[in-house]
Amino acid sequence: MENEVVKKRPWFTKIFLVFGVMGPAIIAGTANNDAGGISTYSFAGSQFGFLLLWVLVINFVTLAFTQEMGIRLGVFTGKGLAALIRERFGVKLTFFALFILFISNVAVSVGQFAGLAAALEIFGFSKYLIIPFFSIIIWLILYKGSFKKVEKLFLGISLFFLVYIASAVMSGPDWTEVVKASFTPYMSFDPLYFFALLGVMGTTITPWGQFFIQSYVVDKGVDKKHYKIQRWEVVISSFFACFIAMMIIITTKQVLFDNGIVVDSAEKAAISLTPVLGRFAKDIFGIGFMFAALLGAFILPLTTSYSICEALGFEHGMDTDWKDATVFYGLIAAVIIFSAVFVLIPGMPLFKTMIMAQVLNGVLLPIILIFLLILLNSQKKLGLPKMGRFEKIIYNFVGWEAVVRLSIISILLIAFTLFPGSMEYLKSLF
Amino acid sequence: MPYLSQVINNRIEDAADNYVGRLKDILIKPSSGQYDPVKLILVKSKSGDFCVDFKYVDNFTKKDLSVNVLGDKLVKMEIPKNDYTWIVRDILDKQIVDIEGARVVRVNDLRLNKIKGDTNVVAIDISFKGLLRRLGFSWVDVFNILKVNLIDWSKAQTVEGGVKIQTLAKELDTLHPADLANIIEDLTLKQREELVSSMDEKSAAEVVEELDPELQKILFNNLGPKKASNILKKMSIDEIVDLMQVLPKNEVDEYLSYLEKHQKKSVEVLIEYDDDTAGGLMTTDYVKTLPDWDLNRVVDVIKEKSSGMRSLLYVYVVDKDNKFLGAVSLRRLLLTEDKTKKVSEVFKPLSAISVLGVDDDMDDIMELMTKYNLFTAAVLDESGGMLGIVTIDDVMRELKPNA
Repeated sequence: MENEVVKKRPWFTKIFLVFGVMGPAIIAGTANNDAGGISTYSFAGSQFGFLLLWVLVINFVTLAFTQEMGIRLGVFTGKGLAALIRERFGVKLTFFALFILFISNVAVSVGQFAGLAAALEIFGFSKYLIIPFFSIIIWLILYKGSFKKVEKLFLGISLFFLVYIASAVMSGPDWTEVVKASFTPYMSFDPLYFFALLGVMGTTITPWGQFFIQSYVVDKGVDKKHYKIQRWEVVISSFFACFIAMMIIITTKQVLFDNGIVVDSAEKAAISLTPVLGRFAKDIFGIGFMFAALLGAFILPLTTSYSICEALGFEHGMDTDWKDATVFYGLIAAVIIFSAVFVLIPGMPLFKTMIMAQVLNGVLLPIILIFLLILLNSQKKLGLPKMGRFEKIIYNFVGWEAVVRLSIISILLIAFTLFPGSMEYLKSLF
Repeated sequence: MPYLSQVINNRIEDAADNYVGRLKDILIKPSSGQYDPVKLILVKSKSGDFCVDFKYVDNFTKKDLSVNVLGDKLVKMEIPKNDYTWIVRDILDKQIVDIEGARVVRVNDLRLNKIKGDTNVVAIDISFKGLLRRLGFSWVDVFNILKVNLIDWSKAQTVEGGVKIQTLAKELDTLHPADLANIIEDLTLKQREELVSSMDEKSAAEVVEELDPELQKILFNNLGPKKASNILKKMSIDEIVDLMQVLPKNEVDEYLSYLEKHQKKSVEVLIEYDDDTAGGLMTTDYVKTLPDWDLNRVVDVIKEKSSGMRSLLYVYVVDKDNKFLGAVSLRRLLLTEDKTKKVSEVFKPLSAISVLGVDDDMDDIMELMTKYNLFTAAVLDESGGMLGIVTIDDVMRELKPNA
């Protein structure tokens, strides 16, 4: 009976619903561009201009599909990705997947702490004071289970990065050129280009993001009735994530690339906002950047420990305490401490660390995607809704394309790095 | 006797030590509350998988798996479609409910043992040591620091699949609602829904009350309006109010419309108060009397009303304008032989006991209840009118929210 009511919604209710979805989706999408993301896109735009725009168009499709796979698995099984991997693949492969996830998450977490330090260096704070201080704050808030209370605030502040839309428009780019670059794949055998390419891919679509979205729909209790709305939400948020990324690249191309400035610090990334924010650019960017990094510095230790404990059967969740969930809190503490100590190593280049973390993510991502795709194709076992043949082909195409693309680029990047001669050889072939 | 991980995938030999195949799975017919003997083994061989009745199995140890006939004499059975539980496919790595521990845990390994000649599944290993054993990394624990943590098989219940949820609900009947709530929190949305639906409304209400309001909200959304309203009606007023406080406005109105008239009125009054004040904590589930009632009438009222209440320690005395006068303890009521006496003759008047103001905060409440050793305290408005009572369990809940 109730379903009939739902089906017969008048058109204006439908439009209203879509707008209701837009809000959270825009926030989620904007927040997806964490400190590492902003750094990577700024670097990509200031180093290569519009050349990497096309990647973001493909990224949008891949992100929307992989996130949709995540919510599909979450809604119809009621289980997190880690739990599903454990139940479907057994202990050995689970350990392997968790190991990959752990490495990649710790790298991103280090990136967030580096972002935090970089942001506060803009204001002249020493990382040796600020990082231990924030590490303790982060630990306390996570341990007390009050993260939910501050999360909204952080998400709200991360909306600041919408300013890149204004700054991209104000920087007056040649829009025909933007559109052209967005749909023209560009390849080069410059190792730095590969580096940027993989970084851009690895920051938009992440292993942790995949685990996170699935736990999110499970914990929120999204059921089959709300699955369609949730689908819209991920598509719109994926769009916004990539849209903001494009705006960052356009801004940095116009303001920095054209003036021969390459971003290698948070301070230089801030310069790109000068046309919009004037002399406050540095301060406002610094604050926004700090909160983006802080949000990530909360989420990463948390999601890492959550996934591992979920798969291995340790007590976990924000409503537990140290005595019941020692492993859960122990892992959170371990990730925080490792990240903080790594960033504190004297002479550690903060900005490079952030981008390196994204590149490593790009290298490890295909492994997690393979697990995801196999699960997606086990529809009967998992009780997923039956896919039409066409739908199945599309999902698999998008998924496996990403696996192949990321693997090839990763292998090439590793080859170039280890054997600098290999690049010359490849060049000579073309 | 072995752990499952020590025999699974091992070579199976026949009576003449010839290779038959490898052990792929072990099939049992689970029954609640006891150990389950192994019925069949599933053998993986080059010519296809088949089952063998366990009565042909001779040796069943980690070193030696063998059947007591020759390979070509072996009765190969078709793989049964249903009826059986496959312990590798259906149990290993899945979640089970540990009924004694009132929690949901993941199965890392299983322990097999001989009981009266039969090989039985006797325990579930949920320890990290079990994981290491599965990985073949047991040697890591050279000093034997890690402990094996076994759960008695007869005290465990699987949760996969709708049918088993029904038997689970029966098993769980013996648990306290709070423990049951703990288990429910660890289950998936669908399992929660099935489990709660299978309980009668009163016990469901008791369990739901123990859940976090956010989870209550999710659960009610899933149960659908009819079931949700039936459970909601059986919940105590202060718990309903807590739930209403996390719901969006339009849903509050919808849920309120499910309630009986008198419940709705109480909820609407209570919802106005701040969460951590006496007004926010109090419930309106209590028994009121007028001073000129005789004790027989009071007892009748208690008989009629108390079944819907969580606890009853005092009967509160108010005048015609609902002005608070005092209270009669149940003990007093029980010990007074002459039930024709009037309430006014036996009750403790206001001056002698202490009461809470509606805006009193947690500190005030705790101080008052500790000082006067109260299990329940009356809450009054500014003009001394009786609004409700705060009970000790609400205070404890505030102190230890995650228990």
